[in-house]
Amino acid sequence: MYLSQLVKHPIYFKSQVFGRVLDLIVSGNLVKPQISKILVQSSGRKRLLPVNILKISDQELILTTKKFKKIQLEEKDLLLSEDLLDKQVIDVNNRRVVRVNDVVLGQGKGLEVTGIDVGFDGIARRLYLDKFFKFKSIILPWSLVETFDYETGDIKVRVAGSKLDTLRPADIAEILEEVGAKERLGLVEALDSEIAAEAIEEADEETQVAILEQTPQNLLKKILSKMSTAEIADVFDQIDRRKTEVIYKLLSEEKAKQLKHFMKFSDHVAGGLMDTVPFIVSSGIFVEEATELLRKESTIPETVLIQDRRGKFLGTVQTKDLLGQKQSQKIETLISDDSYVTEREHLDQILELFSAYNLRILPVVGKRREIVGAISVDAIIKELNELEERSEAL
Amino acid sequence: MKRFKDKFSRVLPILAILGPGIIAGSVDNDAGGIATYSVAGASFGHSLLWILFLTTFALAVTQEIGARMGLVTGKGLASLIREKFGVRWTAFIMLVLLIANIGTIAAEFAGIAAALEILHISKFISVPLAGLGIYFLVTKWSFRKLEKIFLAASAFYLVYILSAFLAHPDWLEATKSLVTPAFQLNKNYLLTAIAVIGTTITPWGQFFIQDYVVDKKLSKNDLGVERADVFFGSFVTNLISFFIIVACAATIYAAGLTINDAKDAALALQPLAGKFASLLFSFGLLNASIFGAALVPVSTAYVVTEAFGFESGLNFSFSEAPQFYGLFTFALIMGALSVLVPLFPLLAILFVSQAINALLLLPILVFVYLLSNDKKLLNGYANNRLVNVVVVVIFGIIALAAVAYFGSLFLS
Repeated sequence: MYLSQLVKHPIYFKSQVFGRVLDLIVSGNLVKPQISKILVQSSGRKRLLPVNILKISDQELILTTKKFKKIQLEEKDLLLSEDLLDKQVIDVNNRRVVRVNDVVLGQGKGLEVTGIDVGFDGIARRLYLDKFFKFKSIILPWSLVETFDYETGDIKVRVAGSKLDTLRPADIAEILEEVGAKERLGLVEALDSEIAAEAIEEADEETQVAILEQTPQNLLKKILSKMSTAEIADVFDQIDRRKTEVIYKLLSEEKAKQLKHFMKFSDHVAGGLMDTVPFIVSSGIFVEEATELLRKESTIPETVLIQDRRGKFLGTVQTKDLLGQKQSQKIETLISDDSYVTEREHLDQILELFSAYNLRILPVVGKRREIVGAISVDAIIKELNELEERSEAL
Repeated sequence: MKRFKDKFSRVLPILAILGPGIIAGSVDNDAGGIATYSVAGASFGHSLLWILFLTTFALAVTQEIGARMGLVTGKGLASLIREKFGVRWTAFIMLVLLIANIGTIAAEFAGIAAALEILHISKFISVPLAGLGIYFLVTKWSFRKLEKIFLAASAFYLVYILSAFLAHPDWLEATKSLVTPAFQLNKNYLLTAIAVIGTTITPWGQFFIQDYVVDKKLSKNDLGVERADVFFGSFVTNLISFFIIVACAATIYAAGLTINDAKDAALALQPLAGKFASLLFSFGLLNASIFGAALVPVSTAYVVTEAFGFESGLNFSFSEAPQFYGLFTFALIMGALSVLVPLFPLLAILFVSQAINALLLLPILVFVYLLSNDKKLLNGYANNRLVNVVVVVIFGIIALAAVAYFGSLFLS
């Protein structure tokens, strides 16, 4: 049965109308949500009734007794009509935001929520059109849904090992882009700060700016510490001036310095496009040592940068080229490319290098050819995407 | 938009405020607008200017509410109505909006037809061609580019200013009329007053500003800039409306003529363009109508799909967002058909559709009022008393004028 068949409908006591149902409430365990309380309007007042004095017969709610203990609404209670009906929820399975058209109830041990109706037939039913038109029914099982509190925007249904953490950052980013301001903040608060940072980095610029401007300072500090400075720099000039001051203060000294450095360069030159901390080894070492060092990294880098004894950049070696090589071979003999750019090199030149030499990564050097960072092909793709979006907007 | 603003705002502060307030404002002087203001000036001289003045304030206020609600909640008006009032009220408001918008779209096509009739092109050719053209422009080309072209061509409105000056009206009288209520309890005056309000404050415009602001993900920090944009937009658009009315008053009204057919309104441009007045008018009307005929169906599609949770956006293909494209096409066709069916003369469509806009604005204003006063929803950004007073007053004026109008219809 559906929520819409109960809410706003009468509730009876001894064949007389006792009142009207305003809402059904779920408390406690939100994994297998049982209706625990019912809010009714009776004799001009709102009254909260425990579910054990009610029974359902022929889709009608019947009060069995007028004697019951006074109960309260708890903060963690989920009000189905107020918090869920017509609101947006996260469909974790399909990784998108949907609107609740109706709530599906079942009778298990008691009256429980089994799913959410997000199909158009839910709307048809609530508009009393379901007698005339048949539409597709799309029901989401409750276990695949994350909900928000209507008033605060907080994630309401948070279970241990929440389903949200199974989403990829790119998917979370899309969800962040779609929901309203309060819900966006609630979502950011509910996520693990590492995942939140990654998701924010994947989101579009407007969403990034909105989040950086609106997240409260304590949480913002944690998230900023997990975000890449290059990413922050990309949207920094779009952030409200007063907020940028705050952000500089929340960053660690090192990151703040890095950020100032990035801000000197626009994202059309190498200095502003750098997004990677490259893996660097000295030219004198052998394949065996290099392999050992690589194994110690948490993510094995695709490319190894070689620098000479004086710290000057020599060239790059592809990690895959180390396979099957003699362990005693000197690593510098495997250098496959020696392209590099200085911090002021323009995007056009950089693109040419990437395509001419099929690069995956382009080292960026300072005045004395010392390695200061690297541009990954991902950064290039992202920048090209942004440029295309901007020219489309024009 | 923001990057644009930030970079140029130091160089040319005016360019920074090319926001949604200006766009929506410019479209207020669409086919329906030009027709209504022309009729107002031609039939009543300066005596409706006070309505224009009040409406300017009301427009600034209602647009500000829309912008503020969008900035604070990050949600469109349709979403807010759905979340607070449920799907039944939402369906009701969507129906109201659909009717009002189809009326507006019909007015745009009537404008296209009237403009091209001046060039002796039958509406049975111009309207279908325009409909097809707009369909392909919007779905296959870029809407943004269309917007830019339209905004550039909006320089046309300057001709009304020039013409008004060249016609030597009584400027003192005109300015005084802005602040002097001049009630005329005859039904034509009442209907025209309602139409003036409805062509300025439109149902679609109320949804548009909020959706635009949400789309750009502007936030509370931008409230100041957005307010400036909205006030500036309202002021500029109604400044142009002022000159349209004054130009028509100084030419058509002063000569004792009336506007019986849309092309009669071109007389207002004679002081400037002489015998090219009709041609000039045709161009301006065409430009205004085409953009409106593109924007309003798109806006309709966005709002209704938002309300019912369908996929929406021009970046999707037809199969990915069938309801969005379906609604767009439906609104476009219904508007075009209303003009081709020979029931109503073009001028009537142009004019009456704006009056209908005002009447259908009433239920929408109710929801806007309720939502913008919801302290829990807007967290310290709810309406202050002045804003509430303006909303109630504009509601009252429309309602009273409507009652008086229908009353006088019965009595006569």
